[in-house]
Amino acid sequence: MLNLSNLQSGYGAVQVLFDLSLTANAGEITCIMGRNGAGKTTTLKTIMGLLPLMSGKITLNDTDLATIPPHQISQSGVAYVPQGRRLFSELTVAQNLDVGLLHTPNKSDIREELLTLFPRLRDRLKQQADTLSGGEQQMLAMARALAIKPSVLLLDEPTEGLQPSMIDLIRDVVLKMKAQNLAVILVEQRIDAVLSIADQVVFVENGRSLETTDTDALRNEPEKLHRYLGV
Amino acid sequence: MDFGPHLLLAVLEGGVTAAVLALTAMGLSIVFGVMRVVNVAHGEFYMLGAVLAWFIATTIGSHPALGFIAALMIAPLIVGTLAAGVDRLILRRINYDPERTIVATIGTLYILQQTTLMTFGPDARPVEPPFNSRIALPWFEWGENGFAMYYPWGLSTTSYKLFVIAAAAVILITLWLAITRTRAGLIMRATQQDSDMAQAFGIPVKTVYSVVFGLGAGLAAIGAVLVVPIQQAHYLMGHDPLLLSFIVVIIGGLGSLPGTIIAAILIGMADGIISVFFTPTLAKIFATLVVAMVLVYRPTGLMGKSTA
Repeated sequence: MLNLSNLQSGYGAVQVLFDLSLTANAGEITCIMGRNGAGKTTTLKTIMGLLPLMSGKITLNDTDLATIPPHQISQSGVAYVPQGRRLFSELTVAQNLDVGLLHTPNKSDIREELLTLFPRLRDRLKQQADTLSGGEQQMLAMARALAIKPSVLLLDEPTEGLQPSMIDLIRDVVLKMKAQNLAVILVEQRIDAVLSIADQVVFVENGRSLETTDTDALRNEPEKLHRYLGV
Repeated sequence: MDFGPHLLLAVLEGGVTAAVLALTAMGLSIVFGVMRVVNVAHGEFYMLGAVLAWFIATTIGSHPALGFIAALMIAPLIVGTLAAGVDRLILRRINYDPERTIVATIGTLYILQQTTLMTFGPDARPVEPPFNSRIALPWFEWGENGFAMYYPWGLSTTSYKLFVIAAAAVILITLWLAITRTRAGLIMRATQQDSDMAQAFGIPVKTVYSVVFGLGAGLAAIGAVLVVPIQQAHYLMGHDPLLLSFIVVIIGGLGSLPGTIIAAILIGMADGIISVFFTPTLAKIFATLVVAMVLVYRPTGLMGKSTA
């Protein structure tokens, strides 16, 4: 599915990723874990073409994503829910969804699907995005991403700052996406959440992927969490 | 002439200035709002619109209306295309860096100005208005016999000046509807608010930038084509529109389109009224004073939002 091979990337002259590799398979949740500044968000931004790829390869099935214009990456089937949501804050909920639906056929059917998945958004369609609660904003960020009908979903700390009921809702949606055969790459700090939904965990440190392990094995080897995350 | 009719005359003159200024400043505001580029060459795109209007109108000859309509359609298109070219060849290459774009647009200003001088010469060029009938305006007074209407001597305007005000209003309303109601407008607003996210959702941000830079210059050119039958086309005519547009955009709030319209009406009216009653220089002093007060007491402008 999505394969990252020896990625090197960064912000201008500041290199953040030095050698990062991982494979995300359809119908699986791959979690990237690491300390602050390890390169987790940088990895997602590099996949989306928001940061230049200095070296390495990003392939989605047989398509080399580095060779297509950044704005066409989403049309290849990669959707991004960034850290802090980054909604179009002065647009309404409906208009935010419309941006997600720009290149999607069957817009009205998909919009209906999304509003069924996140019913609270239906009552807020005409409301400006920055007037929503944190949880509603996260729902909108996910709905906007799912509007492109992706095959790969990148989630950057989707539960950050949310109340427990909202975290459960986001978790359920992520599991639904997994059931729909999406490849999900999740950046998450909450270990309990990771252990409960991820299929594999990639530990990163200083821009390098150090180890990939499946979640069952990680439950039996909690010392890895201490080694890579200091917990 | 009494004060009342004199004031009405000044308001009409101010209305024409405000209409043209609103179009010109709107172009500058859209470019800054979406691209965060301070386009110092904006006045030269205005000037080029005026000079091209003269060139097109005189080349076509025949009836003035035909020349004017051709100028109104072709000149903004040429200026917009040229501006989109400037974006692709210069601004895109310097990655829209705020400081470097200022220097680059200053360079563009001189290139456009001197090329126009070398191509069309230093003379001021008149363009004949498509229609220009004089319209006497009535005034009302409460007299011994009650409410009476009469036509004071000298209280008049021209059909063309009224057309300029109406045309600017129609263009601005159309632009507003396009920005708020269409897919292209949605793409523009999404790009304005977060260009990275816009790109992540399939919007070709660089193409949007080229179109927006062309649209901004095209709006300035439309303002110039409308005004050139009242003023004359000249290769140095871009300075005042640039200064006034910056004043309007700062007072209205950087990137705020409703703020730009309100500020254009305020500054345009003040310019017209002060120019009629006093001198045009005093009008510029007033505008500069207002911008200084806004910067001191409301740095985000009338309708700008704080970035903090």
